[in-house]
Amino acid sequence: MNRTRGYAGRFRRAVGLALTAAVVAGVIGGSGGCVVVPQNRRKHLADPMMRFEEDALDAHRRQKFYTTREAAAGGDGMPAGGGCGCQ
Amino acid sequence: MTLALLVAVVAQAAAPPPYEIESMRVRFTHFDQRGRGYQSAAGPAGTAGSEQLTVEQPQAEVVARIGDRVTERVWIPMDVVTAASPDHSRYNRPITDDPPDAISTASRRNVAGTFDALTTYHVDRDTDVGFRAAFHKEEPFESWAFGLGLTRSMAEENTVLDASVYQVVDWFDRFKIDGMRQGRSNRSTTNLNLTLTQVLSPTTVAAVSYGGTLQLGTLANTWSTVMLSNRERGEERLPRERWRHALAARLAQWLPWQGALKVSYRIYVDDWSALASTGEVTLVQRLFAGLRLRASYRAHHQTAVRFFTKAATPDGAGYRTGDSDLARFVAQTVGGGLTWDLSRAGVVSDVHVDLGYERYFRSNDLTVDIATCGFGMLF
Repeated sequence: MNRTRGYAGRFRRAVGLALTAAVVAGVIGGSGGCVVVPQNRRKHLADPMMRFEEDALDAHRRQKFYTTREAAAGGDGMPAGGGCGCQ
Repeated sequence: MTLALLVAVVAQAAAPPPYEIESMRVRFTHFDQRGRGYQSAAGPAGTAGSEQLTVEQPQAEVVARIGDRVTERVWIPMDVVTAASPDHSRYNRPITDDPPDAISTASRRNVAGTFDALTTYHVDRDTDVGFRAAFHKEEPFESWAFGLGLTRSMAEENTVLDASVYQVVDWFDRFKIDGMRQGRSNRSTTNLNLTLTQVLSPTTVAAVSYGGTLQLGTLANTWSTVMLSNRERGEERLPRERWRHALAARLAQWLPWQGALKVSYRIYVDDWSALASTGEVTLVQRLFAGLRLRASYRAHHQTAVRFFTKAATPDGAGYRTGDSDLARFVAQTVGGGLTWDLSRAGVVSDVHVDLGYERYFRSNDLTVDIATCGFGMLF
């Protein structure tokens, strides 16, 4: 019984955290929506170093590695599981 | 006549080439894993079994432009795995230095390959539509994947919204924990992704992403074992449904000394009661002549799924798993690498070479050393 309550509490806490993160993300996105940086001032942003994933093949090996070894996956634009014999 | 000829020549010169290769990349990665987990039967009774394995992972990718509106990406990743799971020929035998077998003594290596094609149609200057199809094949397993994506740029490309859906269907052999084949089984994975990328300043860009995944069917690999309270091993039993939600935020900041700082954070929750948070920091520094140095650190914490156990009741009928990947643990990854972008005159305008090393280590007895090297050409 206590165990069940513990899981439910943990789940509620997680949902709460996720909602908080979503609100924060919304605020960031919303405030960012007001920013328009002209193209001639975005040279640093165009540098390959600034890409979130510099190399698609390197991103794949990382994504597959973590997806098959951890309970958590997703949030990176790819399915959390499936397509592999492991999960 | 002359004018008509001139118009024809200009039109011909302005027409996009019918087929043009934009880039080619290859990558090779070696994984060397050591550790023990209760899902593995490769070890003496009453103890966690060996999780030792090595993976050789070659990948190749070609991106081509077809006309002025279509980009085609063909990507072929492969895995050669010495042991994807416990070796049942080792059941109750001492752990040795030899890697366990994949499923039974029938094969010492499992070769897996995927053919993945992504077609992107450029609708207009701000809108892309993508279609992805993939087929995966390995010894006891095959899989189809289809995906659709939409990318829309707004506010002079300061804001990019990306939405995609994927459907993956897997068919695979079902095994008893003694390695005996029991016929075929299947699972379905449906996935939705939303990403908002926003330029925050001339030196800062951020992104927030949501990924939701629903898995249905046989979600176990079917050969994992669970330690029972009488020190015997029993079969793993998992629910046939799993809802998974991940919310991630990423930020990249240009540094005035020719560097970049990238941070990311992800929170994850699913209806198996796993809750996880993952943070990562990457620092990139340009040294000279296209040479870049990268250092990264990643920390991941997760709780166990609610039916994780190390001593299941032998006659119990509920869900149970002893899979160390579904246990409570802290995992850390430290790594670094060198990237060299070479500029050359002629056909190849950009050559890219990189080398990297990472060590992944977990609080529940798992360590993986990863070495990777990549080579790419941008035409």
